[in-house]
Amino acid sequence: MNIKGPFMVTKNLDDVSPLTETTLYILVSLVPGPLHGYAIGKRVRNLSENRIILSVSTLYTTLKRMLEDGWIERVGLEQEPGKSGRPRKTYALTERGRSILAAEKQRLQSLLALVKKQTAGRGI
Amino acid sequence: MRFITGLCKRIFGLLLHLYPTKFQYEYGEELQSDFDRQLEEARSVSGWEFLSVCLRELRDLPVNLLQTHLEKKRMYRFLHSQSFRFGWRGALAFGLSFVVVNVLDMVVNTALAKFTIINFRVWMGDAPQQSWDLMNIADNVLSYSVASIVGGFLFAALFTGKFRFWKTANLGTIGFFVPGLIYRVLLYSSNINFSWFDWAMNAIAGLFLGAIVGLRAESGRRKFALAGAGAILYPLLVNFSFQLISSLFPPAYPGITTSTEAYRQVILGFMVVGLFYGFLLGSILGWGRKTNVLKETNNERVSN
Repeated sequence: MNIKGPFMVTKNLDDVSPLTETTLYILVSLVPGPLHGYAIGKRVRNLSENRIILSVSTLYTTLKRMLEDGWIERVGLEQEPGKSGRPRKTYALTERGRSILAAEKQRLQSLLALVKKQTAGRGI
Repeated sequence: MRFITGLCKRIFGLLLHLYPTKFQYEYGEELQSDFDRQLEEARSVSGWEFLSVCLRELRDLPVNLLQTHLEKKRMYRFLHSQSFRFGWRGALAFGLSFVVVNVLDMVVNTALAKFTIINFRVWMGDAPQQSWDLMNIADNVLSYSVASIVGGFLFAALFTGKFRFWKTANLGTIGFFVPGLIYRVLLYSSNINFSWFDWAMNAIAGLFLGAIVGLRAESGRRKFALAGAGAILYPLLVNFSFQLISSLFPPAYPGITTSTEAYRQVILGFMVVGLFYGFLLGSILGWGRKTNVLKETNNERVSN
């Protein structure tokens, strides 16, 4: 399966799939809308029910790579309500990021279908 | 607590200077402010939460630093792979726990031995040699239990964090305790004093560690292969690393090894073995995880 983004060269899905858990969770956390780094970490923690707790160094190293690959983009600055200090940079999914996520979703769905088919009626 | 929080923030700020300048410029401020906020929030929850934030950062920062420096180069893909990240995590967790277990065992054992000897003389008078040996076993088992529990918990905190913490902590404790127990019981309940005795005992320890890794293997043959590999690799590594370290750092006074030097050699020796073994363990776990996913994907492709 090939993935096409608005400004990226066509790239084979095999090069990026399967996504690491960290990458997948970050992409999923950005689906509802743009978030700043700290909020991404929090949402990943909530989505994974405390199973994945990102260290800040891992979070920003992954965000940097995703920005460079064009999966996410910086969309502006956000001042948190009730918080002083500098406004935070916010990140959002790009079209390419959505395509990657859609492809991964399709892969996981077919995997799940396979597992269901193979284990049906066998007490697993 | 406020002083420690401030200190941690300062140390993290200094560590950020290890990143490439461009990365620091782009993300430094966000990294620092997010870390500060995580620490503050963790402090208000509990001391354990605070410690987890620090340990998590300590665990992940070196790999992320390397990755950032080496990106665009051939090493990048390797460093980004799941097996490497698991490998590194395993190496650090196992290496540090291994050192802690063995050093703590030495310290507690020394303290217990002094205490027991005094009581034992008062209580038993002229006890036969065999009873002394039994007391030695008790001391050793007690000190190694304490050390194994601490080591198991540290291993779990560094390797898995909160997720499956108790399961890993139990496994880690048993993994450290059982080989040590076998070693000590055999050592103090018999008069065996051959040079190959250490090798044999290390082989048992290696067999056990290999078997733990092998538990995750799919086939029975693979389980045995991993346990066997552990039994061969472990004693070789232990002996090789101690030889290497004593040649690199010879005692200042030949023939006399001061306790500080002995400790230093033991710590370095265990660190080398622990890091290597932990890397192996982590890589196998990470690699197993990835190959399972790839296998399932391939099966699905074939069935389509």
